Amino acid sequence: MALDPDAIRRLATLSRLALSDDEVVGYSESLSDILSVLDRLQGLPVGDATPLASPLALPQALRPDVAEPVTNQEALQAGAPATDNGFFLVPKVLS
Amino acid sequence: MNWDVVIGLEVHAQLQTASKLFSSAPNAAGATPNETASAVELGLPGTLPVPNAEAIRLALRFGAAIDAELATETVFARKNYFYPDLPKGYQISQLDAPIVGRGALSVVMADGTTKAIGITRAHLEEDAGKSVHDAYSESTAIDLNRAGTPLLEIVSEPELHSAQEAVAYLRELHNLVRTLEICDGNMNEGSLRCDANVSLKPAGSEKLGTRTEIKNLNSFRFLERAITYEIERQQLVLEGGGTVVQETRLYDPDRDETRPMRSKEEAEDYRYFPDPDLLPILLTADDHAAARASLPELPAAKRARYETELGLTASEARLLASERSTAAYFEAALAAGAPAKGAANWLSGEIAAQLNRSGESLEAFPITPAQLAGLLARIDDGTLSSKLAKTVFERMLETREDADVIIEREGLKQVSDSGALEALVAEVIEANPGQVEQYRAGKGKVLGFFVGQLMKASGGKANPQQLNALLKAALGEPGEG
Repeated sequence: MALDPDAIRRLATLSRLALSDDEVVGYSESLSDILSVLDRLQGLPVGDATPLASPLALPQALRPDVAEPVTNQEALQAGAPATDNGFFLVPKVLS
Repeated sequence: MNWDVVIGLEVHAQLQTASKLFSSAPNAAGATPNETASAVELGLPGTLPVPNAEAIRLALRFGAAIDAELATETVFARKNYFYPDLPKGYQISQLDAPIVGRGALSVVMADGTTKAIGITRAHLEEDAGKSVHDAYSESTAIDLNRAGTPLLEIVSEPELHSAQEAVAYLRELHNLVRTLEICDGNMNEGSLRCDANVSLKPAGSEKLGTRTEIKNLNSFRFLERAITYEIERQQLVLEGGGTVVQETRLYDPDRDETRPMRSKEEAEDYRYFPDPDLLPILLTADDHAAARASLPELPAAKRARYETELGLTASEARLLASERSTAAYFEAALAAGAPAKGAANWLSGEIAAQLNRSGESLEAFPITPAQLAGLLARIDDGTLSSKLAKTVFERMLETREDADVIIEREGLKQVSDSGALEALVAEVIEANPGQVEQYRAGKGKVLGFFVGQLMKASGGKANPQQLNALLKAALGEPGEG
């Protein structure tokens, strides 16, 4: 499977990445190379083995439903560029 | 041209857990912005999600209630999109291995018929935060208190064929999640939210038409109006020779219309993949059995029991079982000794009318179920006529006192003592010789005049059946003229 420059531009838009035309061509080639390796893996005879969602043969630990108050709100907001009255402020989304 | 309407609903129900889906932050609205947003909800580096066991249990309970296939292995996936109220850049959701597979919900439609509506799947996901667009002129404000709230997304098959059917389905689902105590169902506050997929196809055609998805339907009324609008809009487009564009539309209740929400360039492409931070969750036969064992009596079973065991009509049973609070009130009244028929009549009559007037919910109703049972007992034993019972009911609404207290204090007992009534009858007959003449001359209707006079004379407390009998005995049958 190859990723043409249009597919790269679309992925860049979805990922909010600004790519130059040169970069689009470069990523198109390198990502296509990566996918060709995966294509080879696709060809391996795996029989009727069921697909794995995770390579770890471990069960997911669950958490008992116990609530604990958030006590470090100030620290959590300290790294944000702008806050006010507890809100995080970001550039205007709707004009 | 005739069109078939095809509707499917996606309903998001916020699960009633103490903590969030992937962290121990409180699952609560929070008094101030970001008060219940922990480092996990903020998506800070170094945090890891740990699933809430209770959210898993509540999702399985729902699955058991719609007799669905329950997963033995369920997988969380990342749904990638950028929006400021989703700090991680992805929502943890489920795609290929949802916790609840195919099931069905039995829905009572407006005409009283019952229809099984297929439910494709129900999966767990985390809610996003909230963007506040109008609080600051130069910024959008972000509140992540809602972020990480456990949601169960319930996806129906496209088996609904009118706005009314869609509303009936949503009402049934609303009642079910409340009965199961997995969601408070508060649509105003967004605890239960609904998106509708609507398409039209030529009548009888097999092939589905292009659908639009309508968002922001936070009441039964808006759901009905938005679908009605969208059906008309698509019909106009198609009959004008145009094509329906597959898009997401937003319902605007102020203008009562839907309009496009996202442009085609930004069409959804979520690039789902299994979340590497979370392993598959394995569910055993014991987990499934526990979910089934946790089910309360379901609304459909309630309806059937009210008809067969309590002798109520189908429409009475439907009305009482259609809302959790109504069913709870009714059953509490029965437990306090109220007769089923009487309690059903009062709930569908006086009480429903009063709730309509006051706009209150039954949970906040001033008369308790036990007090209603007390009032009904006084009707049954002849102390109150139906007219007096209404008077006592009105007093109970004001004072919140028991019926007996009000009857005693205000002397509202129905007079059934035939001696006292006979004396009254004689008095009224003597005072109205003209009317007696008319009656004897054949004007049978004059009897109503006497009944009115006697009710007045007794202060409304005379037993009407007895009064009629005594009057007829004193006056005889009306003359032949």
